Order: sequence, then C-alpha cells, then structure tokens
Amino acid sequence: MAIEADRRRPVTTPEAARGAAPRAPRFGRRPGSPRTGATKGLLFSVPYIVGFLAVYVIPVGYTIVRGLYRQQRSGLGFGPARSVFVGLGNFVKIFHDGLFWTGLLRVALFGAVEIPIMLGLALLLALLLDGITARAVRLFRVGYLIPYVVPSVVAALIWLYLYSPEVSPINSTARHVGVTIDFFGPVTTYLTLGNVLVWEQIGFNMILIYSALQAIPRELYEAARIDGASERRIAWSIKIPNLRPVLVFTGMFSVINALQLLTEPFVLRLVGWKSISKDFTPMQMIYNAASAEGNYEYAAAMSTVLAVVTGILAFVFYRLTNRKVTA
Amino acid sequence: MRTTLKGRAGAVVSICALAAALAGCGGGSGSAKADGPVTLTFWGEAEGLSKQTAAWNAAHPDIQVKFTKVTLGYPDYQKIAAAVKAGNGPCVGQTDAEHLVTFASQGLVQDITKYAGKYQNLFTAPAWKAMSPGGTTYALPLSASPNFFAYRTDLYKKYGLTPPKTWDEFIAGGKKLRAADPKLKMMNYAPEDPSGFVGLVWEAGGNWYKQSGNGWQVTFTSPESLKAANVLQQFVDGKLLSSVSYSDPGVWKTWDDGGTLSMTTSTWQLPIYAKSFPKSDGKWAITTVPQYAAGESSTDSGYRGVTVYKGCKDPQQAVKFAAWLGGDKAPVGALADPNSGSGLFPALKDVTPYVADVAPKKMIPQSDAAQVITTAAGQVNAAWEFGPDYATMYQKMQTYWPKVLSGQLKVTDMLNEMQRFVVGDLKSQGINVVAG
Repeated sequence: MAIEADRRRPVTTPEAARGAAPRAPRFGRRPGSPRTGATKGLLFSVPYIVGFLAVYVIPVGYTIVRGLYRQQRSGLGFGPARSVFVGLGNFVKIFHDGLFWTGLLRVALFGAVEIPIMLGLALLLALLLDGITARAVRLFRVGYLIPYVVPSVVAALIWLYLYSPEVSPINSTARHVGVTIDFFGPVTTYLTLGNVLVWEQIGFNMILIYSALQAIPRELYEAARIDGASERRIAWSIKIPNLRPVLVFTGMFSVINALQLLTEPFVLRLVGWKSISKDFTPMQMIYNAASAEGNYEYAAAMSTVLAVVTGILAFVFYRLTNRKVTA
Repeated sequence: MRTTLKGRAGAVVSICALAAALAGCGGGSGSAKADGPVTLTFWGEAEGLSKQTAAWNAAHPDIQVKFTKVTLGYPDYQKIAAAVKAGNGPCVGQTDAEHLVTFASQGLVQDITKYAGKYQNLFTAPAWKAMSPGGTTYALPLSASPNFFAYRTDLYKKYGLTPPKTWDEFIAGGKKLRAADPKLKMMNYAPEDPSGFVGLVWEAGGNWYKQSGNGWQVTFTSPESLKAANVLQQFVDGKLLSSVSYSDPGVWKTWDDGGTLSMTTSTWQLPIYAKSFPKSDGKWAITTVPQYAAGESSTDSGYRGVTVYKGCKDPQQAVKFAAWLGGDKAPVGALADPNSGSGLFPALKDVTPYVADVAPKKMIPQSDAAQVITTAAGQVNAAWEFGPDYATMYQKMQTYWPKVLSGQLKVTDMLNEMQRFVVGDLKSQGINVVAG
C-alpha cells in the first residue's frame, strides 16, 4: 500500500508540511492580541495535526508495538494463537538475519550508483529545457513527466514485456544479428533495474529542478553576460550553485525511495528470477513476511528497522550535502 | 504449477489489492436467529459457484447463501484472514488445502468435525485428510486436482520417444531428446514454483510433516524425500527442464512452439491450456505420471474445500451447504463441466457420472482421457500431510528453488536447509516438534 504513496511523497509528505506548521501562528498574529493569534493558528493547524496523528503517528506507534510481540502456538499448532510479548526478540532476530542486511546493503549500493546518474541526467535535462523556447518547454515537460504519471506497477509491467526472455522484442530484433542480451545477468540485472528506475524518476525530478531554475533571478544571468560569461559558465557558476537546495531535497527523497525499493524488483523478478531473488530488497522481505506468511510481527519489526536505517541515512545525506551549501 | 498459475495474475494484482484491502472487504458473518431462515455469506473463486449457489437458494428457503466472487492466492488469503480477524469475514469460503492449514494455525476456521463426520464416506481418503489437518475437520472437500502426465504426440513420435512409465525412462528419453537437439526440454519447472518437487516427494510416499501424537515429526530428509531429490537432481544435471515463469507473457509458447514436450499437470489447468495452445491443439495425449519403479502406481493431488470460518454463527447449516456443493450430484456435475463450471474434478469416491467431459477433446482427442484422470485420482498417495507453517515453509523453499533449478544448489542441500529452517520455525512458535 505504500508503493504509490512513496512516489508521491515529495509532494504530500508530512515532513514537508511539518516545516510550515510551527510558523502558522505568526501569520495569525495581530497587534495587541497575541493569544487570539496563537489560538487561531492552532485552529488552522488542527486538520493537519489530526491527519498527522491518524495516518502517521498512530500507525507508526502500532507498528513499533506490534514488533514487540510474537504469535505463540502449542501442540500441533492449530487453533487460536496467543500474542506473546517478546521484548526486542524480533529485533534480535533481524540483527542476525543476514538476508535482511544483504538486501539493505544491496539497495544502498545500488542507490549510490543509480541516484547520481538519475539526478545528473535530470539536472542536465532541466538546464537544457531552461535554454529553449517556451513552447518547446511545454512539450518536453509533459513528455518527461509521463513516465512519472504511469503507476510504477504498470511501468514495471511494460518493462517486463520488453525484458521477457520469451517474448522480448529487443531480443527478437537482436537475434537477427546473432546477439542475445541477458537482461538478468549478475551485472546486467542492476542496469536493467536502473534503467526502469531512471525512466520513472527522471521526469519528476527534472520538473522540480526546472521549477527551481525559474526562481533564480534573471538579473544574475544578465550581470554575468555583461561580465562576459558564456552560457556554459553561467550554468556551472550560477545556475547549479543556486540549485543546491533542490538537489539536496530531490537527493534525499531519492535515497528514501531507493531504500524502500519494492515494486520494480517485485514485478521484474517474474521474468528475472535468476538474479532477482524473493528477498532482493528489504521491502520485498517485509511484503513476503506479511502477505505470504502472515507473520505481521516480524514484518512490523523489519519495517521499524528499515525506517530507522532510512531515517539515519537520509539525515546523514542531508547533513553532508547541506554543509556544502554554507561552505 | 498448481498454485502459481493463479499467482501469475495474482502477483501483480496483489499490490493493487492491498489498496482495496484498506477500503474494507464488506460482507458479514452469518446471523443467528432462534427461528426462521439463516443467511450465510460465501466467498469463492471457482467459475460456476454463483449459479450453483442460486440453485441452492431456490431449493433451501431456510438457508439462504449470499455468494461473493473473490480471487484466491497468497495475498488474497491474507486479506481474507484479516477480514475474519476483524469480524468482517464470510461464513463459508473456498480454500486450497495448503491454505486451510494456515487458517487453522491462526485459529480462523471452526472445528466442524461433529457436523461433517457423516459425510466422510462420500469423499476419498486423501481429500478428507487434506481437509482435516491434525485430525480435526475444518472443511469439506470441493474438488481434487489429481496429477497426471501430458505429452506432445507429434513430437514424441518425431524424436522416437515413448511416454515414460518410470522416471528413469523419462530421464533416458530426455537425454535422447537432447542428443537430437540440445534446445529441447522434457518438462518445465517454473522458477517461482517448487510444487513440481512437492509432487515428486508426495508421489514417492514422502511427507514433510508427520503427525506424531501432539506434535510434528519434520522429515525433509526421509528416504522418500531423498528419492525424489535424486530424480530432480538428474533432471537438473541432465538439463532436461525448461524454467519459464508462469508470469512470463510468453510462457505458453514454451509448449505450443514445441520447445518443451511434456508436463505433469492436472484437471483445472486443462481448460487454460486448451485456450493457450493454438498451434498444438489436438496434438496432446495424457497418461499416468512416471513412477519410481515399474509397476508402481502413485501420484499427488491438490485439493480444494469449503471451510467454515470463525465467527460463523450457523456452522451446522454451513456444513450442510458445503457438503451439498462438493457432494451432491447436480452441483458437482455442473462444476465438473469445463463449460458450465471450471472443470473441478470431484473429490468423491465415485466420480464416474461426472468425468466424461473433464478433458477438453479439442486439445486431447484420445478416447480414454477421462479414464486416465479417474485412475490418477484413485492413485493419490495418502501419506502426505500439510503442516501448520506450510505457507512459511513454501515461501522459504521458493527462495531456494531458482538456485536448485539453475544447478547452483544441490537438491539435498536445499532439503537440509529446509529441515533446519522448519524445525526452528515450529519451535519458535511453541509448536511441538521432533526432527526425524
């Protein structure tokens, strides 16, 4: 259920909204009545706070608590099970679960390669788009955004047909010149997956970067041009430095998305089973535990661990990249 | 093969289905009234159930059944489990034997032994056993899917093969075939689907979960299991198998184009093949599965049943309906017909009135096809049992399965791992277990 939400997270995320919430009272403040202002501000925040509690704090709390339990049976194991408090038992099990950490390392390393390529291309496209006429911009903007609009399951299915060892049109064409491409070899698997992800993500990130480009005061370019700077120099020395905040933002969300990778390997392994295992990513393991085994407690504990690790990595990424801005 | 044909669509649909699960599943449990008619809710998948339920309703004004069509697969069963836990589940529901144990292990189905006992003699012993894990009856059999062997008559003739009576003959035939053209394969084992191996173990008389008293003896490395492992290892080492996923859009071409010449299969798949094999229509024949030794007669079978969920307030009426659906002449006949039903092969002891049309004649023109299937249904090995963590076990085996098929992992190594894993898993749940 999180899959679709994940992709839209950059727009609707509570984190993004959270930044705005504390500032709300200031807007309502009027001279002489600070208390009324605060109350009004609070009233304005209520819908958000209620939603935040209902769809965020409570489910997260429930997940953490559920992860502290385990289903216990007796005898033959049939009949109602008892829920037994096991403290950190599930977390200790995860700590020793090599497959979970292998999966996590896999998505982390994969993300470390895929994200810079994807963001680099998105940046390049945004800069190119910034340099062309307004009518062409509209055309390209829509074109690049379409893959993002396609639900990721559908996108993965489209690529599944293209990659299928049985019916791939790419391979049936390549075979005419005596070549068969193994899309799911030890290395090509990552290229295959990476291609799908870049295809899906590039448009959205490009739009964000492009919007940020529009916010840069045009006077800066004029001043640079008067000083004799080339377009390339303007891009490198004015545009890109001014884009740092949006690059940090898109980068951070890409990191989060990468660690929560599920749909694409889940669907593509239907034909790429040789290299994409059932436990290829941590999210797949969580999905299997909950949906196939009915082991919600272990799934909840894994979700908690994944969230914490993701949070830490996102924080580290944010600190590292943000430091550069002030330097 | 049995479960994953459905899984093909199911795997993809499942992600979307999760969203649907949030929206609630509707339906309610049966309502108890001191007098007057009761209404039972019934969730099922098989084609034709809706029509049969209507027929039941017309004849039984006092027990009205409200049918809802659902899809059944791994994630769908979890949805049903969640609905039952939340009190929104159905009263009766169609289920596979392997999922029935999962429900039973979660306490989501009712012990109906006292109501169901009187129907036991109608059904075959292995079918009844499959509905009664641990000796407690939770469901009534609806249908069986006895395993048999199908092969391409034109290609077997072309390459000088005879339908194998034993697995040794099968392997020898495969080698002969490879000598003619290394691209040709004897059979397809899908990479997501170890059920072919489960069938081999079942046929050998193996049983991974042996009930002993109030506990389980876990026997992944029994002599029978190792016998099956030996055969599978020879398939892999001899490169006799294709490994196309049922989720691959091109899966049917595997057989239809003639690259893979035979399969072990069952009744419910036949209508699907009949639709999906345009080129090889009429070039198929069936026979009983190859045996471990000449003269033996054993096979495996899937079973579907109709179970009574926790929260159903009218279990007695529910059992009556379930027994009618799987045991009465009219519904059984209608459901067995591939045209009006879904080719559900009855789980009854006497199937003769129902099987005439069970094999699609266009695909399999042979005259004794129904007889072959009936024979197979009577030869199902009774040793097999489904254990309480079968779903978790199967998940684990699915992670090893691709490695086994590609030869990276020996079958015996997988069995050793499974033995260790299942013993540990049962123990951690507090279930009595001994390694055997």
